[in-house]
Amino acid sequence: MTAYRQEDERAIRTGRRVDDWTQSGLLTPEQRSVLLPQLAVELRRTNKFLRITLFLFGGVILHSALGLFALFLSGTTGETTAALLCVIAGGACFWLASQLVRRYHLYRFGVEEVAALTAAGLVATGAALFVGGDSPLVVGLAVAATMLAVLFLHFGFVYAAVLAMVAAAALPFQFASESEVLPRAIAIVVLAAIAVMVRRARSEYGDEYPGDVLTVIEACAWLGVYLLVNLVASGGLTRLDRASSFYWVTFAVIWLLPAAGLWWSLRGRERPLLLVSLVMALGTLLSSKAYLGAPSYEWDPIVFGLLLIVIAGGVRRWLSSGEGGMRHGYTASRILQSDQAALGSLAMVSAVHTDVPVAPSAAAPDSAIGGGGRSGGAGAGGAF
Amino acid sequence: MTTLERLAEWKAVGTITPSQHDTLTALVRKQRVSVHLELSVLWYLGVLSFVGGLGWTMRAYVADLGDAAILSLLTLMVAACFCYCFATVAPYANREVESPNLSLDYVLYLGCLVLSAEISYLEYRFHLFDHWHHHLLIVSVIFGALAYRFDNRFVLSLALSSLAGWLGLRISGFDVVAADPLRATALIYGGFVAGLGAWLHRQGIKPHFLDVYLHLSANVVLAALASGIGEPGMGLAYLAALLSLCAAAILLGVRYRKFAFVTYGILYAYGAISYKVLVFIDDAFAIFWYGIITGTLVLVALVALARRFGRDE
Repeated sequence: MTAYRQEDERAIRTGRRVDDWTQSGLLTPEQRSVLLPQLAVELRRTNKFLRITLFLFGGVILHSALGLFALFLSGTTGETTAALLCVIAGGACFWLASQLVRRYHLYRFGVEEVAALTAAGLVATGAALFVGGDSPLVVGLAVAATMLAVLFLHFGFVYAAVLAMVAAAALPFQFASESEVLPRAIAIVVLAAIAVMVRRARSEYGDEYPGDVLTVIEACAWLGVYLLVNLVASGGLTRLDRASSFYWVTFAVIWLLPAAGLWWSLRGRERPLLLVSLVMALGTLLSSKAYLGAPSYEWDPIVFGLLLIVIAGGVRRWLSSGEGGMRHGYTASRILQSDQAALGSLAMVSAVHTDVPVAPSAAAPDSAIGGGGRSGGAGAGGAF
Repeated sequence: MTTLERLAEWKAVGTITPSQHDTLTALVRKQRVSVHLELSVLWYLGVLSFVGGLGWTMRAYVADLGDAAILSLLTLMVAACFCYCFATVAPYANREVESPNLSLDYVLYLGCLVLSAEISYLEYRFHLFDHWHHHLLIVSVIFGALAYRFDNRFVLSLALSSLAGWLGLRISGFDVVAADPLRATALIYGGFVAGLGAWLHRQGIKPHFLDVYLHLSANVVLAALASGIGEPGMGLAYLAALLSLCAAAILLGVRYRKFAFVTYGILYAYGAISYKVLVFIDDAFAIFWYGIITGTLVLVALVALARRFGRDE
């Protein structure tokens, strides 16, 4: 059973759209002031900055309280009692999160989120402590995946679903196996199965809630599949064995996955999947040389950068030259202000991007000048 | 009720016009999808990768290529980029001006980064400014002018970080090695950037750039002060200054509905006070009680704030 009504979730999303449409000039402020009251819900919400701050301080209080509790009991309890107490504390945190939603109608308010996540962590830790022996991590991950999935189903936290998938994918790697391929293959199958199931589940909703949420989860599941298939990107999990056929199968798949993702996402006009497909395509381009064991050169980034620029420029020109600046329903023009806001944030972050290296350190009498990239970006030397 | 059903209802009662209904319905049904953001990210990554590779290649092959070839190539690239930009740009206006096309923003960014690399190369090879980074001041001024002419936030960020570089500050991180003079420089820089941004905003010159100035200056100033609170002697003075500015950030953030600054103020102030207090506490019980009591105080204040302002941003 979910903590929020579907009607409320949909009204909240429509409200966000109305805000975006108004900022984009598609609705007037007067229309907005008429429409928003019709979309009012009895839920307490806040902006993203206060949400983050509330999350952090909710975490400070909860974890301090738990630490204090643990200190009171330290030395007086065995592992089994500690496990039981963890599970009870986890239950209490879940109850607290539920009460914050039920009694105070909090919605993405930060406090209830940190309580719910702490609940998942405590129950998983309790289960791991309870089992002990050789497999605490297996049990801990399994319980964490289950708890996080429950949080998603109950509260609708998308990040909980993503974390649940990460925990589920990490499970096969905890079992002792002579084969390095098997755990990876199982994890890939698990994530692919989740992606397919979610895709089926969301087909009846389209883009309306919960279809929009499920689209994001599906995209994340495909990204997880890709990362596991790409042996260079996830090389830390198992060693690379170029002699094995599995290695070359994965090389083929890292080309097929982005292509399939792009085709699906463009056909279905699914932006989360489109973004993930682009990330997968970039990952494939970046890891191909390492896959093939080819040497890297200093000019590789130039070629890569040029390729991206040519693709972006070419697609823009092609779309813009269509009728009304559009082809097959796609346009390179900005429609919504939310896109501009996202780019504004990127521009802000670009102030702290890495330096641009310009000259060889060997030939320089003072390697601090020029060698480390004093140019543009965030160049220069001192620190405070 | 779905968004499409609501749109139909709003059209039926006359809240939105049929034309608006058609436009919005096309967006909701995804009959019209913008890939502006995706293409922008590709452009941005492409430019960064290209310029990064250019730098590495120059470093590796400077002896083989020679100064003349490198400088000629860079000059050609800068000229080509700027020619394209000036030929394409819309007339200047003080208000926000949308780029005529997506490429313009990133070709300009590319030109600026390459120009920056070229000027740095000149300084590195020929020491035009006698080892002091005056080239960063030059690029900062040029980038600032270009940012305003082309209404480009990326280039404005570049200008401000280059200015920081000229003063010897590194925005990309701070390790607490340095000293009062550098902190003083950071404070002057932060004050100057905030003042300049506010002045330009009051003049009505690209007022939408104000956020870039304020975010940068707030973080530089607060981080500079925070890095000094552990200093013997001056620590308390830095703490007092930090807390005053945090209070100002919170009050002004609330007043102007810029809640990012409220978050900055709370986090920097809480971190600084906790650092000072926890130095004197080595008892785990007391530390946890400190977390519970102070966390609750902050949380109560935050909840009151959040309830008052709802989702305003």
